[in-house]
Amino acid sequence: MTFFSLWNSVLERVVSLPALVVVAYALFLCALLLFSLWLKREGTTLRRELQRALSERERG
Amino acid sequence: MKQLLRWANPSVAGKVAARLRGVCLLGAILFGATGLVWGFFFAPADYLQGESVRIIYLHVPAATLSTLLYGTMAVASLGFLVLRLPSFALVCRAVAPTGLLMTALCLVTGSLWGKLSWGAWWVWDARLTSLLVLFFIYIGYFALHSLFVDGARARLATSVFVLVGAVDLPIVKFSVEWWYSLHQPASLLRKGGSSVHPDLLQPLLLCLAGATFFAAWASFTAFDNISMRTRLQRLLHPLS
Repeated sequence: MTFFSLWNSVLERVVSLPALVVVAYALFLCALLLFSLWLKREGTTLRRELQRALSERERG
Repeated sequence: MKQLLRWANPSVAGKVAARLRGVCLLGAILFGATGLVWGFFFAPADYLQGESVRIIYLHVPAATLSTLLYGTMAVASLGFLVLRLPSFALVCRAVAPTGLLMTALCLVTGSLWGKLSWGAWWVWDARLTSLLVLFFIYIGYFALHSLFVDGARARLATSVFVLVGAVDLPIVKFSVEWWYSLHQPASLLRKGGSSVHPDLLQPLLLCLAGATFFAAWASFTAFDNISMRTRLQRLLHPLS
């Protein structure tokens, strides 16, 4: 099975389902992805600020 | 008890959380992706509901976790009020954002499923209304926490609030039995075992496992973030 035949069968499956089912899956996955990215970004920002504050304290 | 107190130390708990995070993320991706692909593409349609039953693979894990995470918050709040260890309040704060997300997702996916099954986006049914109340309790928790500048007072007030709000959990669970309801009765966790057909149940259990691992990963990450924020505040404002 080539990539394009797999892609076609995926799209055929998606359009054969009721639109609200597809909307539910899209919303669910987007929400989980955005929430994860928000958590990771918050962690990265806090880690950077913490390192800056620690190095500033060391410098006095 | 000594062992429990050792685990309640925020730095020890933080190290354990950091180690478990990778495992949880891997579990979430493996179980979640397999369950969702299975449910969306390969699981059979329901004889009565047709293709709309596929929302079950989103709705049931979100619903289960919305109450399970609030239950975790209630246990942590009780632990804080009894033992007065800040780590318990920290667990409560770390779990709350994921609980709010899962409750919102449960309401949204339920609304979409309701439109397909009942022909209405929303009905003031006992199960739906009690879950909406749980959503507002989660919002109330964040609102109450933001009211206090003093961390100790915030921990005490929110712990009492979470315990009072836990009254809603049995109402959510048993609402379909106590009142006449459009929502179907319990079909997964009930006396006599699950009534869901194995062909639908297998991907559903995978989705449940995936969502649980995701919730654990998100809670551990939030725990780490809160610990870092606390350390940062102590460094920047040592006298407060």
